Amino acid sequence: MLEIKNLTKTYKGGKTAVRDLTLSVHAGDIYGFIGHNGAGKTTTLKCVAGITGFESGEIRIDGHSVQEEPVLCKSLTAYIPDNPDLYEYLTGIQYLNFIADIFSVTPALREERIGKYAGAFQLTDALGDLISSYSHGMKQKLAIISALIHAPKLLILDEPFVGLDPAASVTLKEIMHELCQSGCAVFFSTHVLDVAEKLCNKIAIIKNGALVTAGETRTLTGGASLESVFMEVVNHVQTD
Amino acid sequence: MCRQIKLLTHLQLLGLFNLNEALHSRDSRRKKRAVLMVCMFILLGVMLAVYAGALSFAYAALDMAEIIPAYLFTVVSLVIFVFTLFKSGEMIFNLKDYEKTVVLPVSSAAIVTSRFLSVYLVNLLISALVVLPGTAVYAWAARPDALFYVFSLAGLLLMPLLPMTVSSLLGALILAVASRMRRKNLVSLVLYMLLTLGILLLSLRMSVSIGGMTDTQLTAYSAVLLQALATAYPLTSLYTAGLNGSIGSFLIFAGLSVGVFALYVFLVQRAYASVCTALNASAAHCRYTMGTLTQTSPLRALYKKELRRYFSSSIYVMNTCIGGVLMIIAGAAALFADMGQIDAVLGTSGILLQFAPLLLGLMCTISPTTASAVSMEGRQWWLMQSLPISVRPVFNSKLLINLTVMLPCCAVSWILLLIALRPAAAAALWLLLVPVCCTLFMSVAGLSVNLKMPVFNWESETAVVKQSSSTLFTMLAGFGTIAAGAALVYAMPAALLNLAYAVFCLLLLGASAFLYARMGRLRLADIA
Repeated sequence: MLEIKNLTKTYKGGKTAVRDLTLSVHAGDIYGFIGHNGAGKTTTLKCVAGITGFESGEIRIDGHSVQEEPVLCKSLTAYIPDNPDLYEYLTGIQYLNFIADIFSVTPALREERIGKYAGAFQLTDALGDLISSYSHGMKQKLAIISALIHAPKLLILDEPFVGLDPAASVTLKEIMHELCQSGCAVFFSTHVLDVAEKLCNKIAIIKNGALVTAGETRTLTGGASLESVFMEVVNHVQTD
Repeated sequence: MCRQIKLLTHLQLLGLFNLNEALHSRDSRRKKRAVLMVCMFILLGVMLAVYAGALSFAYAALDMAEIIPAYLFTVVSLVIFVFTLFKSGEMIFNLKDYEKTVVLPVSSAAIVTSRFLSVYLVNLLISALVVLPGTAVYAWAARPDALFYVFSLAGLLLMPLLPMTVSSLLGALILAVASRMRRKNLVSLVLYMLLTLGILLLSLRMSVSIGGMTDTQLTAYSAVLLQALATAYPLTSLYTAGLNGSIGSFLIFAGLSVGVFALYVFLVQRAYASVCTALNASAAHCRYTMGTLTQTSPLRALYKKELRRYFSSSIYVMNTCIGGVLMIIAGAAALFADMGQIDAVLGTSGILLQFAPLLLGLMCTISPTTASAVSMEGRQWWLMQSLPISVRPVFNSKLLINLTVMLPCCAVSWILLLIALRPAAAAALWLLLVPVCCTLFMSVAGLSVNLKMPVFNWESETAVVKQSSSTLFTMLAGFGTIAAGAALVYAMPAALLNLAYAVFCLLLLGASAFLYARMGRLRLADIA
């Protein structure tokens, strides 16, 4: 579903955020992407989502190049950033309708999906209010609903559990499982190692922009906790 | 307390005019933009000073030097009034900013005082730019005594206080009324618009009374003008009497300015937190129930989103529709004015009508919505970048907003001018075509400039709409365009006026097509 080959991204000013990164996310995967602050997680996710360009390497989504066919790739994916800055001057329902219009979702499908996911996240009552009046968690929920409205093949999430209440976190995990069972893939970054360990079937660890290790969660941890593996990798593996 | 006020004021001022970014940004592109922006502000300051000096010089040359102090005082008061009106919500009664500061070990009084002090210092800078060159001209022409200079300096320091007080109180009242309405932004927009129209009508009334005079009344011109200024702003007479040596008048002026301002700041300090909370409150909401949803095309969806964005910001609307409003006012004024008499009074012998299409074109170029349309996306720009849409519909939706705002104004103004002037067929055509072509060109030019100089990390809409380099460059480009058109029309013989306008329109359309084609080659991911 997602192929990243030798991705390198250098920002203006010379800082290399991601270096020669290669990984694959297959249909049915819930792929966790972990690393310390400034390791290059968000930059990688932004490159995959088509928000940030990159100098070298290749990213393919369902076989299509992000650089050559950006609009097609974006129609297959949904991206939610770590801080959901949404159009505050729209109401929740206006925002969802706008996203549905951009993805050309039929009225019947959008009604069904908004009803389903807004109900699951207990946001239906607030959909008529301006987004500017929403709390951080409510904005996060709205961003998640908007990401699901066109049934994406690849869901890219940056720290999706930050700001969500416990019930919403459980709902999101259930939705992730549901999506993967239907043949989609989820690629997300997180700092919550417990969640990553329990939720993801695959994990990649990034340090200073370079991939340190990646693979099946069980194989990677080998019976130890993900936390101890992460600390071992971050403290002892040289990337420079 | 004084140290706290100093620190907090310093913090507020660093955020103004992009100064901090120009000094400390590590991103060379952003630094360049910020430096450019600072240069633009300096240039604007110089232009304001030159304008005030030149106009004062004109009064002195007409042997009307005694009008200069009153004129400067009224202009400064009006500018400060308008500036503070739109700034009061953002700089004085900003709840989010207050919440960030109040957790620090600083007193509420220090926070409030620092807010007012910041606004005062900016206003003082504006006052100095107008008053100092004008006063220099007056000193050269009238040779006043030493007391004048003392009172002038003291007057400069006192001048911003009263307009600031009245304006921030009015701004707060508008916010207070609007915050209780469901459509908060629309209500505040209507109230701001009514107030601006009121100011425009007041100045129009003044100019009508002056414009109605004939040459024989020239000797009494200064007295009439002074009277008009004093009527418009009664404090003017106290101020000018003070400058002319009446210590009592000056003391009343000083006492009124300081007293009213101090009382206002004292009252605001006492209830600042509750005032801020009340002003930033929202109307109660009701529960939403899912209804039937309809599907529209991506372009239509983007256009609707842009329209909602536009009307959600009173500052955005007020600054970008002013050209359109002026066009309609000009059209309406033409219905009641005798153009032949105006030409005779100004000694322009028909030139006014000859240049009328360009005057309308100038109004179209003042501030197109597109000059800040990309920047107005702010931190939500990631959405446009991540959605499956190409650049064309995104840009088209932004261009359509400017056309939606300006084209109806062009049409209304054209109809009014047709009724008022009854021009010949060709002249009637240019009265419509020139403003329409200017609108088209400025829509594309504004967007092109904004795409080159976008700002997404802003904290206040004012910084984008009124103070961004993109807006300023677009405005200069607009003035340059009209100046080029005027030069073309002026250079051609009167018989070839139609040809001059045809060439001008074709050039504008060609430039628009060129810029539009170039824009289409951009990638949204590269615009950051």
